[in-house]
Amino acid sequence: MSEVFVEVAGLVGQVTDLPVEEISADSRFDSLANWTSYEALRLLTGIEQRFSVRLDLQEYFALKDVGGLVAAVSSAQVKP
Amino acid sequence: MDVLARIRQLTKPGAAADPALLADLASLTDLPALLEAGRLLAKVPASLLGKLKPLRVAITGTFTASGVAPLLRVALLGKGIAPEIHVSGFDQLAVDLSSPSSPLAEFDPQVTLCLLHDDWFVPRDWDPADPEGFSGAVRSRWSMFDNLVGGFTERSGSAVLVHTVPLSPIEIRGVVAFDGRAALGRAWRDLNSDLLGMALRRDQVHALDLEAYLVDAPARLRDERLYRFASAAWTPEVEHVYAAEAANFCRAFMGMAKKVLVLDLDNTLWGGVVGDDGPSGIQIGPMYPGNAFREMQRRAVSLRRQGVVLALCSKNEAAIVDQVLNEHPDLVIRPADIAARAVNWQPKDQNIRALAAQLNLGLDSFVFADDSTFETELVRGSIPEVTVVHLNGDPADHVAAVQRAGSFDVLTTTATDRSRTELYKARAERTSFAESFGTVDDYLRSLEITVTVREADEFSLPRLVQLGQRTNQFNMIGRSHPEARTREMAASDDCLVLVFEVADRFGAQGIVGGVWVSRRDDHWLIENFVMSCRVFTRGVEHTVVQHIVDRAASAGASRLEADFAATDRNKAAAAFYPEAGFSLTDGRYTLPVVPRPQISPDWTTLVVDMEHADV
Repeated sequence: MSEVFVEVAGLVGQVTDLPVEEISADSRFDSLANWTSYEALRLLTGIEQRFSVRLDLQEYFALKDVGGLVAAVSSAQVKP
Repeated sequence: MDVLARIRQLTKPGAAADPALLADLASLTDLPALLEAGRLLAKVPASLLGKLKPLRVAITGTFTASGVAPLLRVALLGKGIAPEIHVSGFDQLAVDLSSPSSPLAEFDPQVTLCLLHDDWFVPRDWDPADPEGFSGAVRSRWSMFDNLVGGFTERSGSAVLVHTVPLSPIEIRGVVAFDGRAALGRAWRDLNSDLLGMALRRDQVHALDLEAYLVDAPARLRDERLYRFASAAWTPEVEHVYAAEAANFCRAFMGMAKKVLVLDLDNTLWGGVVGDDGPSGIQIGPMYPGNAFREMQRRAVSLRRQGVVLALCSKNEAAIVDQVLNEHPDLVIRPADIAARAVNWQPKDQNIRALAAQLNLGLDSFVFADDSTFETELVRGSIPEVTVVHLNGDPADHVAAVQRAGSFDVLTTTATDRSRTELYKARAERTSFAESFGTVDDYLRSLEITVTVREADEFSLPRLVQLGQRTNQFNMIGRSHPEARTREMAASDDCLVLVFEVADRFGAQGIVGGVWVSRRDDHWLIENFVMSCRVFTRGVEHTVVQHIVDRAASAGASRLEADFAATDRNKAAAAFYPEAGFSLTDGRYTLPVVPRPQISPDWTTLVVDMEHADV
């Protein structure tokens, strides 16, 4: 498991109040309990602050699962 | 265990109390952690966090600000206030303020925060060539807001906090002419000036100059993506600045402002160590770093002028400190500014306790500022009630460190605030004078105490309301009648609101207390009675009740009744009604006024100022 995944899963757990153990790369956002656009925005803000990155909002909302988000964060980190 | 984990523990059913948590909240500094802490703390029963004062706060506004409630919760809990927070839905401001049956009105808040953003005031399609049209449209929008707030305060009794609104740089750069931008900027400042003016015009309305605080914050106003997507007009950083200042306002509203600033001397009020360097060797004067210490002195004296009591707590020889305070030409602070001194070699925690006893003020109203880690940690550990400011780092940053927490913020200051130091100094002199008398009664007779009672008027009423808010010890019901209710009672023929002043051979004390009375057919009821602890144990309260007894009897009442509610702070007041002859029946104190009871002692003189009286 990558460091980015551990951090991202932790943040997903925080905004949804779900135990981190229940969150995997395959976890689909739309099947998480307590998931609404409000949680999606809180997660976005948290991710951007924690990793000092800026994600494209349209791409972000197109992401289906936690693994996809981890990949998006990793690629945003590489960019200058 | 880290702070967030401890909070999560508290959210579980049957969790054990963690009273040390609130002090440790200060260690949370990064925003995601603060937001998380605030959301989790909303689920924690206040009883697990220690002794806190409850406050109902409503948040309404013109945009989405989801971070304000959790950040406000953390800030308020850190100040000893347990908030119940109502957050209105998106853009509910107009409904909330105008409808008597809105969810906000039903929540019955004590404080209502109105969050405003620029686009609510800016007309949708305005012509940059027509700055006057812009100005007129903004003003009419403000006028609508002002009317909404006015109607709301008349109905609800809630205090309302408005704020100045920063204008988005996108709006400013949208005008290409520099002249046009100047006109736009001026029209916008007129709006902010009108918003601030609401606080000066309306009793229950207060203003927070958010635009001014943002100048000092590393914050972008908004994230355009989140503004377009979710109508979030503030970044979390701006929400943080707002929440911190709104929490300071709430503390001021609760009358929980700190009253005493205890200052160290060496490397706090001047640079160097006077015992080592000598009076002429300390750093104070027009050059750095002496000018940084002089700025600290100037700010301390300025606090004193606004009612903060200054005290010294320094490990030094008293004689050399005396010499510096009296003679050093570059000092700004002088002996007359200082109400009490503990200049000796005793541990500072003991000295601060002694200062509290001498001034007769609670330790929870003390702020202690010192450059020494040893002293600040000692006091922090030994007296957790005291707010400790550690002045580490460059002396030029010390003033900001003292100001940062807004510890002394109050809603208004009065003439009494401005002369408080003299009152406390006289009080200290009175304490030593007392030792030369055989009995307390002899001492009291020698004081020539005069109690002047009159009905509250436009001038004394704000002072009475403020006194009610900040008085915890001699406060019969443990809380204060709000200003709106006090005004209502003062204007009503069925009620009586009295204020009283005390003077003795040492000088006049100004307004030191008041009584809220409602007149019933066969009896009068004292709804509340508050008095400053400065005039405790002198028969003043007895003299005032005697006056009410006499008035009630003359008006044909058969008895005087009085409400009382015990709190953990008003034990000193609890003995008063029984001692004055009242008996407790059905949870209320009662005293027959026929035949006329004698309550007043023989050493006080009562003066009734009839100018406004109606009997």
